[in-house]
Amino acid sequence: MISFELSTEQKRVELKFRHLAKKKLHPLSLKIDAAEPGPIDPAYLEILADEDLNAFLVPKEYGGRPLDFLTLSLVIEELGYGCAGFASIYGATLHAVSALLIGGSHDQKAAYLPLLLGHRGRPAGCCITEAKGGSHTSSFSTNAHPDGENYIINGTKSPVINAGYAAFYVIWANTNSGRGTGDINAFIVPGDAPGISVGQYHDKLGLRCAPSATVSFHDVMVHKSDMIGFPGSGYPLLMQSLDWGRALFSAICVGVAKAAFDQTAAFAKKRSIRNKPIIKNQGIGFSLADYATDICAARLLVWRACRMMDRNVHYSREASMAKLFAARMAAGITSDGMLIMGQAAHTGPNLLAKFQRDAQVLRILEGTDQIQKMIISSQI
Amino acid sequence: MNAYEKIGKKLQEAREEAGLSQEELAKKIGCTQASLSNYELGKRRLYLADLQRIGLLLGKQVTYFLDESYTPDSFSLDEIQQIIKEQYLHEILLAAKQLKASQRKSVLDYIRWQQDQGANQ
Repeated sequence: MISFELSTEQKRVELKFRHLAKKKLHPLSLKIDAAEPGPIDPAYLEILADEDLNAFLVPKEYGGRPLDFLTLSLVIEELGYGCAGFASIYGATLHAVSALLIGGSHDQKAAYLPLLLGHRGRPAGCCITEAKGGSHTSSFSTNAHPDGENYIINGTKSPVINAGYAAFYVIWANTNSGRGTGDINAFIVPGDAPGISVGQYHDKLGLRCAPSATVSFHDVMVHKSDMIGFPGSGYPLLMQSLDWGRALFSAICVGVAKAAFDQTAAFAKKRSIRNKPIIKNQGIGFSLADYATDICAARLLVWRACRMMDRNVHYSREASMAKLFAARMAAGITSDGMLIMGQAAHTGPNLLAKFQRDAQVLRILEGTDQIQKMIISSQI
Repeated sequence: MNAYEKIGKKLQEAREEAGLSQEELAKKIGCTQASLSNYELGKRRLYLADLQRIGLLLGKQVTYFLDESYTPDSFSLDEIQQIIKEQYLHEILLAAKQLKASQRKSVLDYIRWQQDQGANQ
């Protein structure tokens, strides 16, 4: 049975994090967005720890307070409402955790998941993309060479969100033994492992509040027990982890679109021309009606993908549909909002201008529109 | 052919080798025949847990589905070329090539029966 009604607990969660978004994230994000590229802002780390947000991702037996995926999407939507960069910091941790939850052993989970929790909890990082590989996720030049009981990792991953702050990284590497995708493996690497170095933080168009950098691995030694899953299992693990991420990053897009919509609608009600609020002009009012409808449709796509994840049925196509629609919608609404607000959105520190830049980057993160279409069309 | 199409093809081979129809295997793994067909065509992504479950049912290690260079007993091409030079093996291979997958499975069953007979003598 499909329900479009949130439970009392889900509504409570939504309200709590909407409050956090408006009261803390909105003001902080304007300041951080305008600053030079640098490490994660301490205020953001404090919020992550104070709210113990990572606990929502971790099973009870490892000290967490897990939420179902649908409720988690509500939290992420509200974090996205507040600041897509903050939500992406959280999303990067989610990505690393997803790999552990999908393919990790009990020992790996017990060793690494508690590092994310409580007041000392830190984010985690996911090392997938390489500068030359782009979206070709099965073509990794980062190499994991077997050496007795260990693997020696060499290579460079970029961009990596949470670089330099991760309690641990999950890295995908190639064992290059001629087995094609069967050579791709995932490893857990402690954030302070010898041989890891972090480059300059990237100066980005959007998601400036989620610092990213190049992470280099030079002769980084990991024990074979740090491989997630079994030899050769990295490819399906990566694909499932990406599906997981797409469904939940779509919620960030919905949050950004909703925040942009609220700001634009408030402006359209307040701004008058010839004693009439501009929302009364059909050119504006009808556009806002379209945006409200699109946001609702995107949210339902996210909910559907999350509901399928909760039911443990295949959600690959549905996750990509949610990502494609929500990211495109967020880019459209934030951009159109700039036209409606005109000069007010273009001058001075303004959240809408930040939303627009963030939305453009969200359209690339977790796979561009074209990647989502490839995934969807391959499953038709 | 993308990675999931390759995995799907191996799944189909393993299912046919086990002499199971799509309906029979689908029933065993708890999905519909249409879903299994989509897995075999690479139209639906097989997740890690699915591969492990299917591998167990079909007597295959998961690496069988993922390793693009996999041959059943991991012989090199040179070794295979040497093996088929042995008496009758070349003819058996050529004759088996003309058969449907289910017929090849019967031949394989007969060979295994012969092996069992040999072991019991």
